[in-house]
Amino acid sequence: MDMSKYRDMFLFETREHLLSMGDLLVALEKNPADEERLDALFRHAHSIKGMAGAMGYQRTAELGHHLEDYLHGFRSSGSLPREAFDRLLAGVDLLEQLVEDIAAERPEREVAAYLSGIAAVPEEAAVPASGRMWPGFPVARSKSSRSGANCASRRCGCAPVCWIS
Amino acid sequence: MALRVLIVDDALFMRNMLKEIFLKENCQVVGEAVNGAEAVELYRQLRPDLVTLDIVMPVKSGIEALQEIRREDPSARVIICSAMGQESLILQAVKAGAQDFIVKPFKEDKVLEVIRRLVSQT
Repeated sequence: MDMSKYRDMFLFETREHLLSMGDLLVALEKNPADEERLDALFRHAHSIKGMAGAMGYQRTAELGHHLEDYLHGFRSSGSLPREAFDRLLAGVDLLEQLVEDIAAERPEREVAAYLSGIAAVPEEAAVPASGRMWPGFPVARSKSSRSGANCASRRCGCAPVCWIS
Repeated sequence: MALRVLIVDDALFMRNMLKEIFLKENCQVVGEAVNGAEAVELYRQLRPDLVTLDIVMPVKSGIEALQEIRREDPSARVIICSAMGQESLILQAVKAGAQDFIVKPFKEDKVLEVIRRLVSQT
């Protein structure tokens, strides 16, 4: 099957899922025990995994699968712990960057560091003294990132986005 | 006569892929549903020969939809389309009456194999 004709549809639907995930994370931060939203967040990650897998976007599928598994663990407890938010926001940001890689027809960026848990390092620790973020570091937030924009109001005290220009 | 199919998946992308495969096999896609509740409703209206059913969907899951469809029509033929890593859900669906399953990401020939197997059983 010629999958290239599904690329635009994949990009459109995946971006929609990512927007919804961002909104759900904001809402869940206010009410972490909202099981309906937690289920919805899980379903979005699941959909991204499935679509990326079908398209052969291995790293996007892998990250979607990871987030799905990560969220599944919290569905049984019915609540998202505060410490999970940073990891999920970084995961959604990384998915956004992967989608932009695909849209630009670049190879998908590396996700191994995120998957191995490096992204769970507090963000300030990831920013070198120069104030410049290492390119591709998994906690980096895209300029257009909704979750990044939300960080200003978040109690986690995320550092402002630093970019190597 | 062409096999009349109802495709159920919350992703347009997946529905279109399946539709392309079914059309190649000269099946008639009579309806598409985006969640389990719509699936049950469309099944009632259309009485298709075959349903492909995703499991993880909003509003009503594929398993719940399958149970309702089979309650209304014990002869309903349903193929589950589910992602890798959801073997327990697939097992649950088979117990609930699903005839066969396709694991996502699927390959066209795998889908055709399942359709042909099901058609040959009728």
